[in-house]
Amino acid sequence: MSRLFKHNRKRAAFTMIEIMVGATILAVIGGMVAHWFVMQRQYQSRILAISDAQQNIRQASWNMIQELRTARNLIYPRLNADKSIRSDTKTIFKNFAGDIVCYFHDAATGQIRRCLVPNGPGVPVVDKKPIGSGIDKVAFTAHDVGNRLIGIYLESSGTVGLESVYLLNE
Amino acid sequence: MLTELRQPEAPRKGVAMVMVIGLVAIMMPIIFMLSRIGGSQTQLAVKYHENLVAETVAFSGSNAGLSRLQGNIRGYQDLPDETSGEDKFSLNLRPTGAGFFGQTMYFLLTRARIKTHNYIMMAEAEQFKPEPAPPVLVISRDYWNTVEPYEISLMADVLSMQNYRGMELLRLEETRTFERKSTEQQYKIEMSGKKSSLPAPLQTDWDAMVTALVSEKLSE
Repeated sequence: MSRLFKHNRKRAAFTMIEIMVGATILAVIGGMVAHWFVMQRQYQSRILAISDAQQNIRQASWNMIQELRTARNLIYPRLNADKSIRSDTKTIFKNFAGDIVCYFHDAATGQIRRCLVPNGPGVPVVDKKPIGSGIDKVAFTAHDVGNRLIGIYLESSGTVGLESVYLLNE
Repeated sequence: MLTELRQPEAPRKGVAMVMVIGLVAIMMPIIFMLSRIGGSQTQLAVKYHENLVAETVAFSGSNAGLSRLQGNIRGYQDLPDETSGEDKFSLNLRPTGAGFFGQTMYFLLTRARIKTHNYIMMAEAEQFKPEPAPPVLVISRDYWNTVEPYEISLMADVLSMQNYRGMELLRLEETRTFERKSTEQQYKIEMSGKKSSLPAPLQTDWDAMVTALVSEKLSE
């Protein structure tokens, strides 16, 4: 009876081995949960990064396409002398009102800026707000002899966008 | 004897108890908290993505509608619903009158809906008479981020739109007159003089631009 009582008093606490085995199993479970959590965070940030990049590309291309669609004449870039296509980080064209509009990429800030050059007396004016932000690479490509078709390649955080615009007006 | 028989079971029972206490007291609140944080953040990201997809579909739909107008479909006011990939968009063409040159003026409303995200985009479109052949000129101006349907009910709105259009046409007349009235030399001097006011990336090739502009200058 005395031995049994002594044994029961011992069971009031855990042995070191019990705690270590229990803690190890809990650590394994904890590690799995933490891994799952990190994976979730990576998934979230990947979705958000892609969404941001798509948004940047879409807004920039939309802003440019709306003006290019009604433009009159593409001045730069144009096909090379051997009729091969030519790309540049800037484009220059006459807009609907006959003035000269320039889009150019500022690599340092990742912005696409618009500059309006009056086709007549007046000083060139760069728009206060950029027409595109968060853009890593830009390529405007001349595609046709008539200077009416232009390709726009945009790259933002590894996501790319490619648009083609036909200038409607003479 | 009784103690000796029970001894092999004791460590397993102890481990089980430590695990139960650990799971209930420590792990469960942590798992619950992490899953709440992770779940809500992921939901937010997915909702943001859905919103963007809705916007993309509306954007594509708007371009598709404008392309149809360019394709010489005059008076086509009952554009059917279509799809962009798996997602539907609907088009609604509202005539708003006629412009200075007898062109028909429209508001093209494009709507895309994905789950709870509803995106409506409006574009102004002017369709000139399709003579002699398509494509027909369409001039569009968008209202970015339009999230509510916009209905034009006031004549003043139509007039302001026509006036804005008129301003651009008046400016076109000015630029064309300037080109016609200037000699090649005068035009070249005027355009070359702007080089110093241009941003640095444009200055490098500006002389070549001026050459192209002068070679295509309008003359009387």
